[in-house]
Amino acid sequence: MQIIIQGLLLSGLYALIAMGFTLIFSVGRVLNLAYGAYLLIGGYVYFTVSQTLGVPKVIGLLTATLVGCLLGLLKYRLLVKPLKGNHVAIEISTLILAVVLQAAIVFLYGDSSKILLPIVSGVTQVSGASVTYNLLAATVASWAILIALYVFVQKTHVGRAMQAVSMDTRGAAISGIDPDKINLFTWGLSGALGATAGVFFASYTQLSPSMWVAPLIISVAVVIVGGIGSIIGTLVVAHIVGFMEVLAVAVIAPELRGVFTMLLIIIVLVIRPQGLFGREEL
Amino acid sequence: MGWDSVIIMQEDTAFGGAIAGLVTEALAPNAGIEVVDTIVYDITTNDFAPIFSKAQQSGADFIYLVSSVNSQVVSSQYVKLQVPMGMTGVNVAALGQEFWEDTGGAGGGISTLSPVPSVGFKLDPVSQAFVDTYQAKYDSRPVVPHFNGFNAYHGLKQAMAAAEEAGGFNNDTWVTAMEKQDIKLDLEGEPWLRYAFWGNDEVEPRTGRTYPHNARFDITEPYEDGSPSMVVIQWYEDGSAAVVYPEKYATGEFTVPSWIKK
Repeated sequence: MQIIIQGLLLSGLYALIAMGFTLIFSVGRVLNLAYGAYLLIGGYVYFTVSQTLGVPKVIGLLTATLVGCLLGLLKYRLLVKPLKGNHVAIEISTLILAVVLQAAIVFLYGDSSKILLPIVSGVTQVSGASVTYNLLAATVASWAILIALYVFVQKTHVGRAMQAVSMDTRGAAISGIDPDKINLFTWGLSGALGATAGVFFASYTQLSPSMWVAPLIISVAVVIVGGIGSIIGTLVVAHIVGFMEVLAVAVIAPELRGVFTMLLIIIVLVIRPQGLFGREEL
Repeated sequence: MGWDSVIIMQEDTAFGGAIAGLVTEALAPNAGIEVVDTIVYDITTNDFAPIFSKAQQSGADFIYLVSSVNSQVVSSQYVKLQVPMGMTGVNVAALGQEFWEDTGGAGGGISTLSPVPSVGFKLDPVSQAFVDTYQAKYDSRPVVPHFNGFNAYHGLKQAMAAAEEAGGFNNDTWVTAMEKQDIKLDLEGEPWLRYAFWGNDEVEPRTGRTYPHNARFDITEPYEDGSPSMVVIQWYEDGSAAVVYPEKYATGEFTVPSWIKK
């Protein structure tokens, strides 16, 4: 029962983390290796605004989300667009950007870990498992955001335009959609989702300058194992990864926590390179 | 406390392995406590929820934590998760005055074995003068020298005194002069801290072992040498800290965190 509860909670957080990465990969067709930096920046912005300056938590969370959005927009305008679809150059430059942002965080905040207090305080014991209201809130927020995103993509004009660009950029352009605007919107949305996830992730674990790496690996795993982006696929694979990690710790050994995720990536790449869900529409 | 069994949570480092071995093979049997299991975790672990669940499932009465790397993370998660079992052990972050700040205030209830001097103590005049000079010169972390800072300060003074006596840092006369060094620090008229060294063939009575050139320690009550090898300190939920063991040096009482049913 403990495994089920912790698996569900952790998977919800992972789904939230991976969603923004999946969006970029689906619409822009690039691996944004600086995606983890949204989480990093989101966590530190929240820490500064709410924990250091004492501003209410909701405002801290919104500020982090806005800064993440702004970072996404700037990244697209200043880095991705000028590279004109050169995927290798984009991947290398985004990776370098993440390292530069990590150095900036070390310069500003030092390299030691900081503890972020829960956004939602409180804890309860369920069948021997400690369930913090913070992680429960992250899971609920994750589900709410994913459902809202699904409805947005399926039901709105912009969402359908995102789908069209993700399927065929030229075809979308011919039908009157501006792929540049859709890409810009998607990068901004991805940044906002990443930064929001970063606040929950950091408050669950810790704030540290290297905290962008683990979420990036989770996101890459979800995209590779799930197949090129679908919201449902992201949700399912986030649960596979989350439960694998909890099971590894509880049943096998805590040191092997991330190993099975790595092995799963390799196995899927070898046996089913298109991912478990293949190429899906958003 | 009525604690009869323990589960060890140990970081995967040489230090963690050594301390866990000491607890399993020496301390626990000596205290009549059963070690039901040892959980080894990677030092990059940032989610301790499944590990604490495993500890709870073991049925042990308390957790003995051995953590030197980033131990503010495991400490704060113990508090944030309100793990319903006591935890003590060796927790290096908790030995610094910055522990409360580093855990964001989520450090109440954490206790740790501690070399002296450390947090929770009133300092003797000599050590306090060192702290005052240090703080006048530096305003960065650590705000108060860690225990090894005190050891290094007094040790350097001894090394220089021995060099003056020996006419320099040569292997023969300096070593002999250093062996005789013996700084005794009093606090409120009582022997408090002593920086001296075990002789080459001197046997420590309780362990029956020799510790040539090691700093002297005294693990036998009433600690008349004024050199307790270790004490236990605890951070309380209001952010204060105290020595809780041994009784002679205690400035507070050990208490389990408020969320644990007594």
